[in-house]
Amino acid sequence: MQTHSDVDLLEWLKSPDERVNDKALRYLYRELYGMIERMVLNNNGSESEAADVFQDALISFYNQVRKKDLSLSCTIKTYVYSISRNLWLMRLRKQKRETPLKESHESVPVQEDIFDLLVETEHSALVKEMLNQLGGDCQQILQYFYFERLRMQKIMDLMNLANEQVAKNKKSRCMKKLRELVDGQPLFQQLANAY
Amino acid sequence: MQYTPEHIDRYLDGGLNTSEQKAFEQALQQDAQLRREVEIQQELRRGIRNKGNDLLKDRLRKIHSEEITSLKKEKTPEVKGKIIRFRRPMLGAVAAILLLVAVFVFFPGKQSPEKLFAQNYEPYEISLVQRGDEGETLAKADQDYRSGNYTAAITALEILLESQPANAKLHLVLGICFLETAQSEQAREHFQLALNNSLYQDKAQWYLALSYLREGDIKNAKTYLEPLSQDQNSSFRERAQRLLNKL
Repeated sequence: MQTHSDVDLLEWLKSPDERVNDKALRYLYRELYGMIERMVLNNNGSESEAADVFQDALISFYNQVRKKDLSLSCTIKTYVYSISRNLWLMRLRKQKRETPLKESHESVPVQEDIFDLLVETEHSALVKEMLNQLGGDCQQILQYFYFERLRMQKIMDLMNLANEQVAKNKKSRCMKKLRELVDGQPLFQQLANAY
Repeated sequence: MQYTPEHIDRYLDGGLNTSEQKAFEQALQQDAQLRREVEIQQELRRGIRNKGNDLLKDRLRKIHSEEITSLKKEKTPEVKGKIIRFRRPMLGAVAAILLLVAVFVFFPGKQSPEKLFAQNYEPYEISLVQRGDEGETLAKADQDYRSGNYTAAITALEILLESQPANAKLHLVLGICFLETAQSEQAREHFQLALNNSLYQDKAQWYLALSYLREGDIKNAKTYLEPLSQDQNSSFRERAQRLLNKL
């Protein structure tokens, strides 16, 4: 199989085109999954736990790349390995079955706050439910803006909107609708009463 | 309120300059109303990103099932190539052709287990809602399942199973959702739980067999197909017989 450089892969992960992202994700899957699976299997884990940990590692890597707050001082391979091993340690700790890891690959320190992007709260889980009640366009524009972190200019192109202002207004309207939906939820009223 | 929604947006999305940022943070300390609004807006953003993570996870599960299965498939021809390389070139070619002919003559029906899985698998068509008054979560699980929104269906089904842990139908459907999202081990856990119920036993056997087939585990697939192929009452009987003949 053809090999791709880290520079190419980062470029693909930043692309607004989902198919281009998938090209990078698929390549990383082929190249790195075996290594992560071995690490998890060698440390009291199962195959499905390995898949889960690896997928979450790729998700936080993707989020970090999109957020543009990543300056890699090692290879993607070492970095994704480091995220995966930390995730696995966190899970072992949570289930109270932590032991020192048996490892066959080097790792680098990873900022703890990157895992914040994976956290779901009671409130955000409810927001996730409420999103389904928005129209498809609204869901799309919110994903483009907040998850994929695309610029308005790009969103305007992708959604065939007349200009940037139209895109901005649309996003604000969708956010407002979402806000109204969760406002009716007791859970959010409690949040409001906390002050 | 002193601050507009646009201003709050810019604060949360990192669009304020240093002095604006400072002023905003000061206002936050004094203004409870503003703090509340910011907190709500943060949860909205978190929810949207959680959803994005879920969608990305679905894509990754698909990649997992495609790549891991296809890697298993690639291994066989590689080994053959290496053996042939040891011989003289012409002999090698002749041997390869003979081998191919032999394979076609003696094993006309043999196909890879993964291919057989793909040919035989389809999600079971079932309706979870019978009377239409059985609660929102069930209706949602039913709708998500039937529209192929399996990750969402899993969440709803897991909630339902908490209050009715012995419901075989729910276990069966949840198992299929896990199969669809390439989580064979979890799928099997739930099929096993559905086996105890005579109404769903044959369906659970069929999907258990397919889950093993997908992983190339013919031996385990057979342990479920064999009793199924003898089961007079099951609509899966003939399918099980045909599949057994191809293994």
